[in-house]
Amino acid sequence: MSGGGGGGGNSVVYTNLLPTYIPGVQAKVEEWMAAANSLASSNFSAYGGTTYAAQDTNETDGIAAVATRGRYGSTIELDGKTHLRNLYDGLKLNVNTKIASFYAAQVAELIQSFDEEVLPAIRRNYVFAWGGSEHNVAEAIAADKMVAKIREIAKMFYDDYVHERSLMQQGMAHATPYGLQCIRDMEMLRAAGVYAREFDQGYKIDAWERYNEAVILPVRNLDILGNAVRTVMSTSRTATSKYYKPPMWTQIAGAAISGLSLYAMYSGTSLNPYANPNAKGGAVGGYNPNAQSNMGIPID
Amino acid sequence: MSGGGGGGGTSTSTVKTVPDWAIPYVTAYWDQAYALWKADTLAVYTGDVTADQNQDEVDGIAGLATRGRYGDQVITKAIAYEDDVINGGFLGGVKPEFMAALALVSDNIQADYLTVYSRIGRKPYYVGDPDASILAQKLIGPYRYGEWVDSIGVIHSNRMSALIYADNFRKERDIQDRGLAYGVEMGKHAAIDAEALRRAGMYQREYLQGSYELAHKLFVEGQEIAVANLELMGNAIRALTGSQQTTSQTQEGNKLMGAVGGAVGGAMVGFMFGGIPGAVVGGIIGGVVGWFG
Repeated sequence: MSGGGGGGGNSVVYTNLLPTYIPGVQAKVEEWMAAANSLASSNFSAYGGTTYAAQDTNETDGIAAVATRGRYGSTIELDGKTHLRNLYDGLKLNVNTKIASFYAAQVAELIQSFDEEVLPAIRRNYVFAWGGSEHNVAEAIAADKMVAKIREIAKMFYDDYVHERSLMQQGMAHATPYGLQCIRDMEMLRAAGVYAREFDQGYKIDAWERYNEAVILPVRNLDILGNAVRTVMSTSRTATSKYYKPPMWTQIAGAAISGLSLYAMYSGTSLNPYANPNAKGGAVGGYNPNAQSNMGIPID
Repeated sequence: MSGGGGGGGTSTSTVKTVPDWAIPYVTAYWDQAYALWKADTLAVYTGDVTADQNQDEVDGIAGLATRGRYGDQVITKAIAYEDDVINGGFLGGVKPEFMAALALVSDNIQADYLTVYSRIGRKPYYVGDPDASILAQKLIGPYRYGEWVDSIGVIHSNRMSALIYADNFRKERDIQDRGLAYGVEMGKHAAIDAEALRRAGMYQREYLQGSYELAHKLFVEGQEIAVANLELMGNAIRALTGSQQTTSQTQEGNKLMGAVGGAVGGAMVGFMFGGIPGAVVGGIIGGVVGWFG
């Protein structure tokens, strides 16, 4: 950098970009900057409180109960399934032990009637033909009718079969809900596991997020100051210009030439002894006899 | 600042956009950013980010898969039964259970036929009959008219069997008709089972997918955090970039014109002091100085 001399110089231009139509803006900006600097020292700090709630007993017990229900099923449901399986296998047919007793009682009543009413009546009718053909035929016919009645009573075994067959068919209505129950059980068991895992997962995510939040705190604090710095940048502009100046020797040379030229102009002569005879004892009175020829004017 | 020959040189212009009063803050920000960057305190999380599946979930998924793949006995038996009903398997009265019921009816009829049978034909005073004691029994017994035939008990049993077969067919037709109502429902169970199996697989895949995504996220985060450490210094550099602008302009001189100017000047000075010879000497010296000056 060179300086001084030669007529050169530097310029400084200061531009303030903050408004002045509001009094005290500059001071407030500086105050704000100081506040940002202070805040940046320790504004963001790691949270010390709890951010993930623990499960309470009701929740854990509920999950455990769902798991138990799903894993082991329901007794009533399992019994129902057993019943339905037996039903569809036909194991409920012809197993009504009460039917035989009822049948025996009905037949016993019939036989009693046969013994006490039918046969005595026949024998009374044939008291004078006892042992005769008519007597025997009458007893045989009565016996036939008795067996016919027994036949109708014995049909109760079939009726019971029909009844159970009907129930067997009606049992179809329960096949789907019971059959799908094990799917629900497994879904329950899985859901219980998922409930527990979701809690664990949430705990891990929370720990992860808290770590990330803590590790970035210094950067966030620094950014407070950084943002403030970026904000105050360009609120003013100072431009300093240093212009190029010619070298010193050219300035001296210029000054010398100028000085010599001025000297020659005012003295009316030259330092050259050939051009100024007075200076070196040449032509008298300043007349230069060669001047005209020197100047290209013909001499008479 | 000057330089070069033949009249060349450099101009410098400096623009500062940070206010003087803010320079301490800017400097502090810069120093802190640099220190934090070099401290390299930003590190990726090293804890476990994926919760393991617990036994309940594992067993639930496995149970669901088993159920879906192999079905349920209630459904399986119901489908087999209903298919048999719809195919008329019960119409002919050939099922063992039906035969057992029919046998109960027949056996009881014939057994109690004997009870009745034993009560008739007593004290037979039948005139002219050499075997009067069993005449009435012979009328309904298996030995009639000199040959063995079905007893009344067997006859009634057969009559009842015929009735039962016919009645069974009619009732089974009703059941067959009602059974059709379950055809569609039972037919869907294969799809329900398949969906259960697929869902079991999907549950497991969803868990794996979640664990993969978290691992991926952690991996990316590990890479990004290194950049974040670098970026905090980058932000500081960006913040300060442009806070001062220095512009240097080099003005290249013309050596020929410098030499000419020097020669003319030198010649002028030389001529003044030494005439023509002085002009020659001054012009040479001035030209050389003007060329290299």
